[in-house]
Amino acid sequence: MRGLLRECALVIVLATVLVSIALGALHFPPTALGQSCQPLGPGAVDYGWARRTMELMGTAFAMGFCDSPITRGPIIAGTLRAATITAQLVLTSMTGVVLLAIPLGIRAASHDGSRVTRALRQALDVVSGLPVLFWCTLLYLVLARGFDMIPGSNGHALVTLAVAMAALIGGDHLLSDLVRRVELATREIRSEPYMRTVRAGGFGESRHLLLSLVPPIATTVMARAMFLVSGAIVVELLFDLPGLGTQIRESLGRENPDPQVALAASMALIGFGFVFRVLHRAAVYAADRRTGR
Amino acid sequence: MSAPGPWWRRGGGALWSGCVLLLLLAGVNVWALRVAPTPNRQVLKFAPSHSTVARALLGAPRPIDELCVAMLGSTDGECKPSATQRFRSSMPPVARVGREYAYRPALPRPVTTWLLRGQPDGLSIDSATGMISGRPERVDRYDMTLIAQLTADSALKQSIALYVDDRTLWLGADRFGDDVFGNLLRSTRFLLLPGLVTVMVGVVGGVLLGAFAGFYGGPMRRVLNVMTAALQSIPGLLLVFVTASASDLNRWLVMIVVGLILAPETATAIAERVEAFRRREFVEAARELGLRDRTILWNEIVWHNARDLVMTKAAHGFVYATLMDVTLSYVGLLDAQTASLGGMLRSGRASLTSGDSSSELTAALLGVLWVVTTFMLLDRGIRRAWARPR
Repeated sequence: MRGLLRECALVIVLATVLVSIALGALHFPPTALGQSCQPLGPGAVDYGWARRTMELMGTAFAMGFCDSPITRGPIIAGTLRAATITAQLVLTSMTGVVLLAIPLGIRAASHDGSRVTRALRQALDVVSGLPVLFWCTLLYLVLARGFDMIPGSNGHALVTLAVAMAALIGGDHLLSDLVRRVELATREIRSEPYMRTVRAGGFGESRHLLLSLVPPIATTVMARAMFLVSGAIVVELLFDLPGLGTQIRESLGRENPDPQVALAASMALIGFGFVFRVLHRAAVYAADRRTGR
Repeated sequence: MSAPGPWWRRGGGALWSGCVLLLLLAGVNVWALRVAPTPNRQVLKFAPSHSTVARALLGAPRPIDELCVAMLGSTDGECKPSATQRFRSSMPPVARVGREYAYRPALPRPVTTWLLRGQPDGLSIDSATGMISGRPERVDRYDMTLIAQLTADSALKQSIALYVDDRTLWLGADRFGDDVFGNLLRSTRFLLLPGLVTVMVGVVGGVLLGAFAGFYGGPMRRVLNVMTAALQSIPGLLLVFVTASASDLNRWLVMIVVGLILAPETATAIAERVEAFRRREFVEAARELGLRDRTILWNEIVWHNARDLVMTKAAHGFVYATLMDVTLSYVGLLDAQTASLGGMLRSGRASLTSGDSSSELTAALLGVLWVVTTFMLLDRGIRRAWARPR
């Protein structure tokens, strides 16, 4: 546990430094920086890259963020609001993927070699192999042309969310990978001696099977969670959802970029990475106690 | 167990289809370098007038049929959309300047008189048969009305826009009057080259780093682990956004950064593969025979046992770079003046929102699908072809 925390701390520091170096390359006005949050005035001298990077790192580690019009108030509060929306997208799509993958995987394991299973595998490989961007745009086209509904516009919030979920669940290989993992795990679990005992005792195997499936599912989902975050950012950009991706675009796409807003959003994303890393390790530990020692 | 035979046969249909699609993509790329922009016609924006299926897919405007009461000659009566009495045909929406244009409307019941309003010069209608024919003389959009007088106090009216153009537009025109096919062709210039830069940086660098880290281990391996974990904690899109903003939208620098993001992941995968093989008997035997470490690493381990992984990573690199390019162009963080799939997606979406033709969005979507499918098939085919028989 201590080793994991040490590793995570090192990773967080490194990632923050990397983001600060990257943001330091932006030519933002000197008024955007400084611990005091006070504008330095029109005569202020522009910083060099190294100084800008150091200032940004100081702001990140001391959490000395100011107010910004992009977040309509304190940057930290605005970033937390945006992070909530991104987290909702990620968690909902994660739940959707798991709820779809479990029955499909168990069915594939039960009917191995049947024509339907083979067709299902092929279809999942093709459908799930396409990126989130493709699915988002296709669903947008179908809804706008076929049903006169423009996702992302006012009055169609539910449609937008449904499209975003469908694209996140369907794209980037996650569903097909998870179905395959569930299928393999189901076969392994069914051949275990305790499952044979359960069947011999006349008990239903579903409960035991589902409980034993939790660690492999959690391992796979947590290992791929950052892909879902990237997908969520794409969805936010396409449908103008006010999440972390939109916040970063707004802070960088302006004539005078606001690096503090981008830095805060980046730190929130790094925080997501930290949480998923810890959960992944916990899942691996639960799956195989020996690995966790 | 892989099928017997040479590697190109083991790759199967996936390898061949992938190669054909890649060659087509490369061919279109070369064509795109030679093709000049089609002149813009601000007033003309339409979907092509091909088959019904193509029109449904590309969203050509549908004619509006209305049943009117007491339409006598030039005076309009009261009209309302008709569900029962409709034309059985619709006019081709595109005509070429100076070329013959002919259309005969179909109605299930007899018509006493046919009338046409708002037509371009050079086009006329036969009032007895309804045959519209002639050679349009001037480029423009014409909002025409075709009237079929059914009885003395009722008439059927069809409103349709006719676009008279002097260009051949295979996929129609966008909302600015630009050729969609020409834009699609020119945007393919940025489908292969950015991917190539990314693969050169990400895969070549990653393979070198991973092979050495896996073979020799020690501090190099530990540094690789930490770098991979740190980079995986930051969404790649974020670093790419920042690079694009900081470099004044420099596409090539962005692609180098995309390569650098991919490098640690590739390096880790290669290092794991090399680690799995470096203690095998054949490596010990090669050492006993006096082969140098360099030969064992590159020839015996990487080439014979990890080349499928390298090719898989290269295919992923191409797809990832293309998607990054599309996303950045879509968001407006790359050169807006250059034709790109992302720009077409953005413009197509705006067309759709304003009720214009969806041909641009569909074309861009098919472009993305083409690239992703090509590299997906190549990846699958190469893995099958180079799978080691067990």
